[in-house]
Amino acid sequence: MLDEAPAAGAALHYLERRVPWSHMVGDAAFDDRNAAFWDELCGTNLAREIGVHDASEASLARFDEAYLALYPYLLGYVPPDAFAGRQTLEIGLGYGTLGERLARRGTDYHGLDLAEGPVAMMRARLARVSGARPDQVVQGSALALPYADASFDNVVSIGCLHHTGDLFRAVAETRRVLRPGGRLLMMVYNRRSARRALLGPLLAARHRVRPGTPSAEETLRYFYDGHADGDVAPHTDFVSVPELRGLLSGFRDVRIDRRSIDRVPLGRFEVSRLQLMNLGLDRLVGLDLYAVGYR
Amino acid sequence: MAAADVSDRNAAFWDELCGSHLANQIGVTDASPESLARFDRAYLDLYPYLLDYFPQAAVKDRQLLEIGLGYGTLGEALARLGADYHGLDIASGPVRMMQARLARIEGAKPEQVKQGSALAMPFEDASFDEVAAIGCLHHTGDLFGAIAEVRRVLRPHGRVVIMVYNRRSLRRALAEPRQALARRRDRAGADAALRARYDASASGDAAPHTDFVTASELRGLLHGFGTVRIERRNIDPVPLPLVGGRSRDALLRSGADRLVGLDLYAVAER
Repeated sequence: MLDEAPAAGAALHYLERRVPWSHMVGDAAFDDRNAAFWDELCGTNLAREIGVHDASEASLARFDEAYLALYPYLLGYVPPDAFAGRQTLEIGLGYGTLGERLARRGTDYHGLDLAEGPVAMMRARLARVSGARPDQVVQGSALALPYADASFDNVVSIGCLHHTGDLFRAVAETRRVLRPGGRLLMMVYNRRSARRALLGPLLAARHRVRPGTPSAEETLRYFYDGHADGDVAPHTDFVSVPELRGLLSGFRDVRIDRRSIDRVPLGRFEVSRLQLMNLGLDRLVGLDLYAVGYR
Repeated sequence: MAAADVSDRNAAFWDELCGSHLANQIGVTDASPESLARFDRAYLDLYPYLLDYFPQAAVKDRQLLEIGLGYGTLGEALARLGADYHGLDIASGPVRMMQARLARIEGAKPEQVKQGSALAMPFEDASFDEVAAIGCLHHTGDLFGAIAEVRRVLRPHGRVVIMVYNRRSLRRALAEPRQALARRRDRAGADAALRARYDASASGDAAPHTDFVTASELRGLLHGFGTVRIERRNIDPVPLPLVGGRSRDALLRSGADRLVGLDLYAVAER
């Protein structure tokens, strides 16, 4: 998940590189690359920005505060009633803000991530939450969840399944492990966002003028999930609202919201993210699609 | 309705072959080769684009599974094109019909036509080069699960041709105002009446379950496939002679079905 636009220097560094774009989705080498990339916790850009460099309780509390200020709507998607006393699986753990909140709400929390870093982080967080079970956080693939059919009342996956290389199968897996009536909450990137609509043509023109630079699509991926050193997420899918509705046709009562938006960087006329969100513009052309549905 | 319940009711409903209306219309009452040839001609006249989705090069000598067999026109054509044909239907009637058809084709294997569910197909992973499901998966009660199964039994780079009903068709648009009113009075009855406009038995019963999807939704459903092409096909006649009513043939020729057609044909590669 993008925490904020990456530092300009890093972006330029990335733009100057030519990235071979030849991964084979679904093979072990691809999974290894995904695991390596996401081993650097998703949220690290934000952590650097606010000067968080360790996992002390105070530092993480500061991170969580900044994170939830960026995504002020996030906790609204996890109503306490739906989680307390229920079995919940989170897929894709990142810095662990949401997972810790869920565990503190008295849900029987299970976590899964392809990479080691986020698993270690979430275990460290849960070790500080009384009654939570750090041993229920494991490393594994969203494409072959290590759980029996109908194991969970909730599956939560924010900004993860579109990186697996097989979004359809990842959704099928969430459906498999949910109990009948169980609730899915997932976020994936919106293909019809203001960012893609405005930035896409600019980057395409740039690519045309300077053929040595990465394609618009590759550059966009960097803006969504890029490391400070210029690495970009191995795979990212973007879907439209109707496509997501089709993908979720195996669920009942599906609701899809658009959320989050980029600031408009016009110098002294800059419009902040929060201002745009207050205007409700993210609900129209937002970056992220939040879907809630029931098995 | 629980999935198992839909499956039981589907097995009963579809035992009366899909296409029986047409057969009645043209006076086909038996399964002699002459009668079936007459049925097939009428059927392919109705859906003149159907075989275009199965060029011989994509079919010949390949292991092909058809799901939902109906009267068997397409299945027989595929077997005659040289496909190594396998068939699956939840009802016994269509299975027997297809077995009878294949028994008359040299080299075809009637024993490869089986009764079973599209939601739990009796085939190993990656068994087929091609899967065809024309007007079937939207009746299973679990379109997503059915497509997941198709993907499972398909080999990498395998090809699928799927037809499901278009939710954004002219028929649906014209019916919508009345449908909205009818739903307020009797939701279940109105839904059944709509389903019956697409699939009804001789006694007038509606198919137990029918999903309608938009082209974009279908694109999402087929996210697990590499390249996907979706086309709208088939259309009702416009019965308004005073304002220049159009026959179905004329509309098909003019390409109106490509915009607001009843059926979505998706061709996809895994």
